Amino acid sequence: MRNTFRQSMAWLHTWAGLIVSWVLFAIFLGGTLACFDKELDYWMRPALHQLKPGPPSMDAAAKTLRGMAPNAETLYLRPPSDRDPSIRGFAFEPGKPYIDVALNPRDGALIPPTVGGNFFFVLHYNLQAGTLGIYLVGLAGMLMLLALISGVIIHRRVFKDFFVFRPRPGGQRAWLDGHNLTGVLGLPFHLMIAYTGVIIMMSSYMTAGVQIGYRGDMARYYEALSGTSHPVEQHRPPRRVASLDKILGDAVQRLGGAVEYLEIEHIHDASITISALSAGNDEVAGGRRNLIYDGTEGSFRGESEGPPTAYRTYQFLSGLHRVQFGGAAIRWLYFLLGATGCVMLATAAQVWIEKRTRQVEAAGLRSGYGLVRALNVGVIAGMPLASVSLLWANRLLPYELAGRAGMEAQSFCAIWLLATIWGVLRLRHGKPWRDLFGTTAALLFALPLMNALTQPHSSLLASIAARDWVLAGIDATALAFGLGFAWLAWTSTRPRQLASRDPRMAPPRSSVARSEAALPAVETP
Amino acid sequence: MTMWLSLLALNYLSWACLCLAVARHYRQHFGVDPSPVRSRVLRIIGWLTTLLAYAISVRWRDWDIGSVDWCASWMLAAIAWVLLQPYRPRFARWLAFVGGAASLFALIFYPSPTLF
Repeated sequence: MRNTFRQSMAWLHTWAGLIVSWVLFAIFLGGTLACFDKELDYWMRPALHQLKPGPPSMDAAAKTLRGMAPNAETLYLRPPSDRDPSIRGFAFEPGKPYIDVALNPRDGALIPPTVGGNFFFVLHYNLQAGTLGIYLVGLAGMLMLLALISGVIIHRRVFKDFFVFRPRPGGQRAWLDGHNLTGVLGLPFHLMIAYTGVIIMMSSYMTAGVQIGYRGDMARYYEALSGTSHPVEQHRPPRRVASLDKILGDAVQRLGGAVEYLEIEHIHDASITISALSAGNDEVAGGRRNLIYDGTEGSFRGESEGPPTAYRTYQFLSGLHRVQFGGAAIRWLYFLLGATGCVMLATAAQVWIEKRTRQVEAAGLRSGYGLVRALNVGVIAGMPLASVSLLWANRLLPYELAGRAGMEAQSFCAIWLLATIWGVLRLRHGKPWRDLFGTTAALLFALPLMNALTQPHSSLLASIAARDWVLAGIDATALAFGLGFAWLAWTSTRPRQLASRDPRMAPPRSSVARSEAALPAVETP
Repeated sequence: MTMWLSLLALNYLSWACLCLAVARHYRQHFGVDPSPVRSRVLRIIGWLTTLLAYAISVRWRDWDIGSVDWCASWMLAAIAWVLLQPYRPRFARWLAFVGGAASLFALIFYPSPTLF
């Protein structure tokens, strides 16, 4: 059937790409937004916007966290950073849900819960679906690697068409050019992100090593990997607990840089130990130094041995993916490259439909083609709308509401579902793409206004006046993306333009004929 | 900030030169074929500015982060050039020239303390 290698690769690219394209789009958009997860966390917690300057109180935060999880053995506290001024607390009690809270850095008070920018991060790595989601994302990542490699093989003119983008002829050609452009020019990024993304979760995907070497004992495996050891229990309560603030100050001085986490182990036992892990944002691989303190006296015990080379390699690969190094500028570059990845996936889905225009029309909506069209509009146009709605829900839901974080997540899902239903209903008569893109644009444009009305102290003008660039940046980015979505809505309204605007850029007739002859850069199986 | 802008501008200039070194694209911009010498000069300038941008970013933030900085700005500059040239060819060329010149000027006369 498939005569040549290239034809079988084209088949692989088309179908391996198509079945995961919607999941991949959700993962890509979630990951792109998660580049700024801590910034979004901050935006979504207005209680942090009016902080008075002063030192953080880790002790007060630890007290609150202990009250919330009295039986937890280990507490984690993340001190304030440039990106997020809150103290974050994490604890786990057996048989209870995982605790992840933001605390006021001055008095340790609990800040009204929100899913925060972390929502997009979780969506990115497990689609908010737990372990099953992790496997789905891994499968999608592996198929993406397949699609990338087969895509390069079937692209006959990678170098000849390297700089080619022909928006004007319209139809399949422009979509295919857009797909090739974002795919080829962003290829190093896409390969890196798909590969390291799969690697991050490798111990979930390839379990044979842990099963044989550690008899399936994950805890012992991680202990050996990271090179840290745990204190031996003494089975009597500690006389007292040392001041975390003093330990943090000492650790910052010894490390000569920021501390990522304070880990308090064996909090109910005399063997209580506190360790400070360096942030290491000046390296791709992140922190490697771990200072250990006596938990009762607060005295410095020493530095744990750095992680072994194998784990350091893993840290480098996951660091490349998680982009916690190098400041805000590099996160912006990842954000933009992630956005081109979304464009690559969206144009791919459109190319698939455009290539089959006649079959799509003949088969009608109640067919596989109709399903593809419905998924395209529901995912590609629906998810951005749902993402903006999450920010709206954050400001509009009352802060005293119980279960507030859950309701934010529910409103995200509800809006996505509604958008999909609307899109599907309008597929037959109407312009679903224009409707959804237009609504997204309107919500993005109105976001700073709504923010100013509900939280006057956090508005765009107020945050510019206060030189709070993180806060102002999110409102300004919403305006910029509002423009982008308005343009998208407008282009999906007007009929295709065939006239060339700039005669200088129109290629000579002979070259048109030549490139038309070579049109199917990706062959239809 | 200056470093980021110079990095993006140099990579953008290098893509513009490499693109215009191809006869097909040169013809689209200027209506005539480039002379072989001009084509070769453009290609050499293109590769040299790429190398220069890489050297600068490695010098600036060391091998690991510097390589990521360079690679990311390299890809984005390519996308910017390819998207800009069919819509605004004259502006695209102008941006390459002015951006490249400004970043070279900044690098020579206002060397960043982290760089040298």
